[in-house]
Amino acid sequence: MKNKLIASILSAIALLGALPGSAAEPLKIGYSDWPGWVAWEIGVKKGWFKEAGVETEFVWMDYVKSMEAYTAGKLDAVCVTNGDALVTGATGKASVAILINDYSNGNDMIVAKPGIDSFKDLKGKTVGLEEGFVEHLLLLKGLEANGMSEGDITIKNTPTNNTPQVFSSGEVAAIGAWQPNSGQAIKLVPGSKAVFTSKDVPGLIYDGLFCDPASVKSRRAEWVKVVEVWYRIVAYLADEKNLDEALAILAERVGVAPAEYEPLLDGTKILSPAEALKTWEKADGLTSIFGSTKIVDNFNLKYKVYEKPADIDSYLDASLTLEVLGK
Amino acid sequence: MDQATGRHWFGIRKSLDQTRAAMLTVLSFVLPLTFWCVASYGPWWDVAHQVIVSADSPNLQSVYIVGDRLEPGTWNEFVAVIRRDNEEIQRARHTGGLAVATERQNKKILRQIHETAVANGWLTRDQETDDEAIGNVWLKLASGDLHATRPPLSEENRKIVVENAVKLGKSWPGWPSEPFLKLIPESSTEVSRPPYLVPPDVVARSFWEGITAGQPGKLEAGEQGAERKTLLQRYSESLRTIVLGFLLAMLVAIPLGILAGAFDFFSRVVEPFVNFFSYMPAPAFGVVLMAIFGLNSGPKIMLVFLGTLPGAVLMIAKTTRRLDSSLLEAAQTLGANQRQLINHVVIPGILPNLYNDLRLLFGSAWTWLVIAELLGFKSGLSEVIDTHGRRFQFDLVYPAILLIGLSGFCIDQILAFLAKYFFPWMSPPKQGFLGRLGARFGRMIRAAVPVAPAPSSSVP
Repeated sequence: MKNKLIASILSAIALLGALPGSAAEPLKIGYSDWPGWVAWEIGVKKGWFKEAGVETEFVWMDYVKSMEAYTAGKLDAVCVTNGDALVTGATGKASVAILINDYSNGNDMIVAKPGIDSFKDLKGKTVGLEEGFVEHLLLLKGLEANGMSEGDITIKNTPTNNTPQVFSSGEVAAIGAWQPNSGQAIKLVPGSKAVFTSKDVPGLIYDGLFCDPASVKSRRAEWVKVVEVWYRIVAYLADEKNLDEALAILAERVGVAPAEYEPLLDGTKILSPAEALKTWEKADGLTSIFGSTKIVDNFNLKYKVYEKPADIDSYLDASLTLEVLGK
Repeated sequence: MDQATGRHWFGIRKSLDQTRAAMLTVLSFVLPLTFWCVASYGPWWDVAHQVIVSADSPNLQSVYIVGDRLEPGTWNEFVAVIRRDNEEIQRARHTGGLAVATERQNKKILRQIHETAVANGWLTRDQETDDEAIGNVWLKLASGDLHATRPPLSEENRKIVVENAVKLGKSWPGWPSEPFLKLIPESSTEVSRPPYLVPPDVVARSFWEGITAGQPGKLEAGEQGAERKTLLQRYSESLRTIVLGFLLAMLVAIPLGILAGAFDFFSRVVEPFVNFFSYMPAPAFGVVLMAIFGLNSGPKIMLVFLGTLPGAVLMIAKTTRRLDSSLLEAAQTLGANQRQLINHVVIPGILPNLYNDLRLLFGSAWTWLVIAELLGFKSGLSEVIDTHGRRFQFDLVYPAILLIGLSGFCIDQILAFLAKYFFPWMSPPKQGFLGRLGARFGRMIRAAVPVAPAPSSSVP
């Protein structure tokens, strides 16, 4: 009887041990509800990764949780903005972008409740957003653009996915969120509108695939295939004939109707191969990923998000994209 | 048992007779249900517009889809914007500066009819993007071959249908480059309840649809990406998390608890720290668990484990200590040694109470479910609660919550009922709902078959 008990304990432990990632083989990639990253879903659903001969596991998570999981070493790559990659790198684990999906072209928004007609009206008000991350950056940029200072606004730390509820509860005057969360907030509160969006600062927020540098080094061939699949997705999305099928896949992933998802495509400028190559060129200013990341780095230092300037070049590796796009 | 039963409603520490007790049991469910019904169906809610024909426009901030509920103000603005769009097209037709519409823009306008066509049985639900079939519906509507009856199209929209069909007919089966007119949004009047107040009939329907839904067709790519899982599939995921976490906790807690209850040595070594640990909320370790066990079911099971363990150890130790010490003394006078005392007196002695403890602990394990399932890869019923709750789709959230409640309640009742057969010498202090049902059933059998005494009716 004792043997039986010991056997059952052992088997239970073995079962538990087998649960987390028994096969360490596939590349684990964390992705979240930003439209540029939801697009990966097309490759997943259509089985293009298998066709390309690379084993991947796309893990659907909340944005900040995906960064935590990456820092904890549970993911080989994570979909983040260039600014948040710096923040994660300074406080958790460094990463390197091998691919830029898009830049935000209006889908990141500061949404204010009825009665607040311009960004300047937010003076003295409370804004709900995820502190230290991309919408915080957008808000600070908005403050700067409107000649206001950090102290003019009180920030209430709110997970982006919860901003629609927080906004509709009326406890904050505005929220910072990306689509589809920001759109949901506008829909929930009649008369509310976006007072500042990433369209006002295009190129401030680039979205990319940031990988564990060690993994890129040791499994480079596989990562190149991931990049290849991405450009297959880009080509597919660029053809209007595929739009209905694409919308069905994308909308399903985030849980909205296809018709509601369609306008989101404009707010995220998915980079065509030519545009991507241009973005990867080293230059100052927001048209280059290097310039944009430098600007964000300076910004983060100014607002003391972290202390030491980041080594920008170590975060950006253009070589895989260049290899795929044939240059 | 010193509880007298009788025909009374209020008596201090006196049980009610069977009929009255059963009546009150039913009432305890009927009362909240009534409250829910009154709140939902009461006459105090304003009127809102539920969209049945929608339209979209770049001049609108949001896209409204069929089924959305809009306040009168928003609705009027919505309709006004669409009318203005149409007027602009009409004006442009007269002045000649008509913009060219892409094929897709025109197709999207024609798709406005889809919901109406489904309601009237002309198209199926998955033909939403079947533009050829939709175009045919327009042509037939205009020619009078089809008549929208439920709901009928407004006079204004019937005119638009005819006008568009003329344009479409010219180029059919091709698409004109001239922009179509949009159908003016139509709505049914609905009660404007707050989104969280979903009336019982909607919840019941959604619950039923959820549990009777068939296996959704798997895409060829396999298990990855967004999966359409049925409510029952999700439920089995949740149940697995709970059961595994609970069993694991019990594997540790039962030996530890019995040892701590039997030997002061173990009590002093184990209990103070466990007591301290029980004050630290298990969810606080969520991030740590994710770091150790990854993103799949590992951290979820371990959270249930961590949440259940401390309480279980303390409870089982206490139960063991409460064992009648005269039993131990009697065994000792008969010459039992330490090992025999544990194996033949303590363990059998506490079994009925231990069983009861486990039942209660299993109930408390459900408490951790929702937090556990949101760790890492979201799964199970909590994923429904979380993702749909965020989108205010409470008609999908409540069935999931209801399922958790129902299953916790039923399992508990079944376990309580079974206790009678496992430990027939114990008189259960209070019979559960099912226990009473079982007892009734037993009596009915006995009454029907008087010759064969039913063995199950061991009711005192």
